[in-house]
Amino acid sequence: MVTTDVSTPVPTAPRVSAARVGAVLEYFFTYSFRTREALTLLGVIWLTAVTEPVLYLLAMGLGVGSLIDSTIPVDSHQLSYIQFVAPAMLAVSCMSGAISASIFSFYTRHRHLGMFTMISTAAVSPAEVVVADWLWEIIRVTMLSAIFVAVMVVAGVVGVGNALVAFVATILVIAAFAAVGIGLSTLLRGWQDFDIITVAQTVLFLFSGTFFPIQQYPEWLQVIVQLSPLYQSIALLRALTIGDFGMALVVPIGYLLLMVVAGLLFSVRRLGRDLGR
Amino acid sequence: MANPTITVLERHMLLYQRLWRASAFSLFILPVLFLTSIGLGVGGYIHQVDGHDYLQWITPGLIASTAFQTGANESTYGVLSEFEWVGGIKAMRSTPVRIQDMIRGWLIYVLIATELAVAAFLIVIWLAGALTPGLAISAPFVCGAVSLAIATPTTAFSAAINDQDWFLVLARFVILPATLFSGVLFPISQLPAFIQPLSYLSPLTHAVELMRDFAFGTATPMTVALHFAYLLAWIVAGWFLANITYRRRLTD
Amino acid sequence: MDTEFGPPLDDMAVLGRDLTKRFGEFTAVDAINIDVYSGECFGLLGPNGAGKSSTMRMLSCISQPTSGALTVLGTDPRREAARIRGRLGIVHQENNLDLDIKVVENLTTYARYFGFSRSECRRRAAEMLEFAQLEQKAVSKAGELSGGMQRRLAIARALVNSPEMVFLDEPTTGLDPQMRHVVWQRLLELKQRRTTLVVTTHYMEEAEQLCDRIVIMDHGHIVAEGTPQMLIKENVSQEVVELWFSETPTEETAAPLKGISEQFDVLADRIVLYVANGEEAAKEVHRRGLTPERLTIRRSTLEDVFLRLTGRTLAE
Repeated sequence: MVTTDVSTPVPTAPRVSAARVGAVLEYFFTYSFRTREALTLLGVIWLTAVTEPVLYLLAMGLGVGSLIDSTIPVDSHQLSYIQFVAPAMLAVSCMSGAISASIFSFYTRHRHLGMFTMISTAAVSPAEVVVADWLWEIIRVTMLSAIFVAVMVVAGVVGVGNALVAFVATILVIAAFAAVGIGLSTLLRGWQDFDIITVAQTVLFLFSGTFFPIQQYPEWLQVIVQLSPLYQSIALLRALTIGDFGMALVVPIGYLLLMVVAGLLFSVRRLGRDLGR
Repeated sequence: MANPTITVLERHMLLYQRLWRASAFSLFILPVLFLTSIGLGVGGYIHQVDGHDYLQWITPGLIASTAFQTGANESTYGVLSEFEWVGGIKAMRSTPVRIQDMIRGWLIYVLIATELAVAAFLIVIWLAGALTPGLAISAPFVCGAVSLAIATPTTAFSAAINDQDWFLVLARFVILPATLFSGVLFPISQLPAFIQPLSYLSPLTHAVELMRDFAFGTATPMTVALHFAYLLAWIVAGWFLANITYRRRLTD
Repeated sequence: MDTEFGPPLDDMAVLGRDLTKRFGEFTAVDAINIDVYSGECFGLLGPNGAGKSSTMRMLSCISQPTSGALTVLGTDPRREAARIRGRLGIVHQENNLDLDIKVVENLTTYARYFGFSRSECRRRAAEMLEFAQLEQKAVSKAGELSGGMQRRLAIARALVNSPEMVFLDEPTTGLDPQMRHVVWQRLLELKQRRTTLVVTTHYMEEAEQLCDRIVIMDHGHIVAEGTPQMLIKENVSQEVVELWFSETPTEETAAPLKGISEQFDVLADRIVLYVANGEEAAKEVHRRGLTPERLTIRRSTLEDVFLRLTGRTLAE
């Protein structure tokens, strides 16, 4: 008697196919532009996106900056306060953009709209869903960081050449926070946990050398702060905006790449379990 | 007979109870973080503002700013979700509770949440040994007023929209500029002359000046009356707007 | 004393004349007359968008009519809506429960809106838990209840003020058949206590089980009204023969049926034939050489009344 050996694994298709990721991305795209109202709202939001960097630079540069008469030493450079704080605000904007994009929208779409359950029944693997969502968040938030960098150039805080390099680096920063954000969102039990995320973001915001050099802190605290992902992002963007392209950049770049890989792997595992795959 | 406003408030307090542990943590931790980071950190580079240490100078403003944020934040998702997802308002609408009772009960809740945040902030300052009687007595009144001044129009706004993305617009166009340019972190006089009048539109600016005047003993009856009158104008206008938007949403 | 036309006027729970509700250009309810007698169960039937919910909202004093005259429990809702709502129980289509607090807290919080003292609220909540058979779940979070239990809780909550009249919008939509029967049981109990009930539904079975009197709405108009039996008797015959076809039947397909019955409807998947005697009609159909894929005979229902009156099925 001939039996079919069902235990032989069927040769698996490559886990992430560009075509299927593309299809999911296209779905997100059409979903976002599904109605006229959604489109109008999106337009308004983009318009307001420009106001954010302008407001921050005005407040920190003109306002707080004018109270500070000394320059701020970074490595061998002496920076005006606005030069010091602008790249940090850029990094913060990338972080909060990526976190709110990934955590809030991923959560809503996954838990409330059940979008991913629906997609993943259409022969799309969890890895493909995660990658598509990750790319989608990067695209959206990168548009914001481009606006921010442009405002910095117009305000004369940074030269065009350094600004372009810094812009490329913002993509890495966004990618890192988006990957980790997606992973975190699979851990959230409900809306009450969003409070924790907000507090954590505030802590990072206030203590990552955003407003003043961390040399102000006691030695032990400086070590802890250096572990902060926002600190690393700020260090990267600050160095690039002042044209400091040295070997020292290996540390933040490596750190952010690690976030990307770990975040994505974790997200795929969690989403796979959520979807029962 | 139980007052309908109070019964609405009772429900909001009951719902708040299950969250208070998480929120109590952030109520105490956020003032500490802001004071140490901005006050001490940035303050390290700033010698004096108007004859005061930077930390001393920003503390009254930060309390007012906290109240302003609480009033605004509570009145966004908290209101929209009642209409869109929870349906609590629809349930109330099926009872003798009137629309003005719903709004009043809700605003009293926001006021309580604000006063809790203000109290936590004052306790932190007291533990740091920097609490003055002027600050302790004036803060609950000034902060309550500024919280309601922003909470009433925000509540009206939240009852008028049906997409949460509008909050992003509100945050960027109203809350963020108000927070940055109301003299909390730096004196308004540092701003270009044409922006300064705009700053005085913000209710927070008036609350910050009130708090500073009380903290440093520079308050005069005239300025106090004017600042409070301005805050009151916002509260009254917002109250009427909220009544209009609630009515529009609930009576058809 | 009963008048010539029915019970005396003070026995009217609702008296509506030329009730109209417009939303901008759209007329949701178009000048309908509606009477509800005290102690009866009154049903509003019709497909989605017929104007049932708008009618319910006007009758339950939540929204005001655009025009027309309305009296609810002898009072004018234009002036005293809040006071009238104090005497009503209203169950919306969605449960609108607070899912994060306890079952019993849902009841006490709601009872407070009616102005009862705290101890009175606790007493009433306990009574309602018993009515809804949720005593075991009193301290569970409402969000942990099953769909059917949440529905019972929502109904119990609307009864916490001992209302004289209860409005229920689609009370059993989305429940499984077993739960539906449990809910019906509760509603029949209310009926026995002479509580006036106003129910919207698109389940014909529900209307036949519960309602003393029914109006059928379509496009904002009332197309028929009466007792369920009366509506069936006046509008359709005793029995219904359904001829199912795999291809869409046409008037041509139906032509040979003339003479068996003058009343028939041609639908997308079948022909519905209204007859006095189903068996005989079925035999006649075969004799005339019609070969439907399947043929069924059943008692006529309100569903058929609706089909007869509007030419559409309720599901459309």
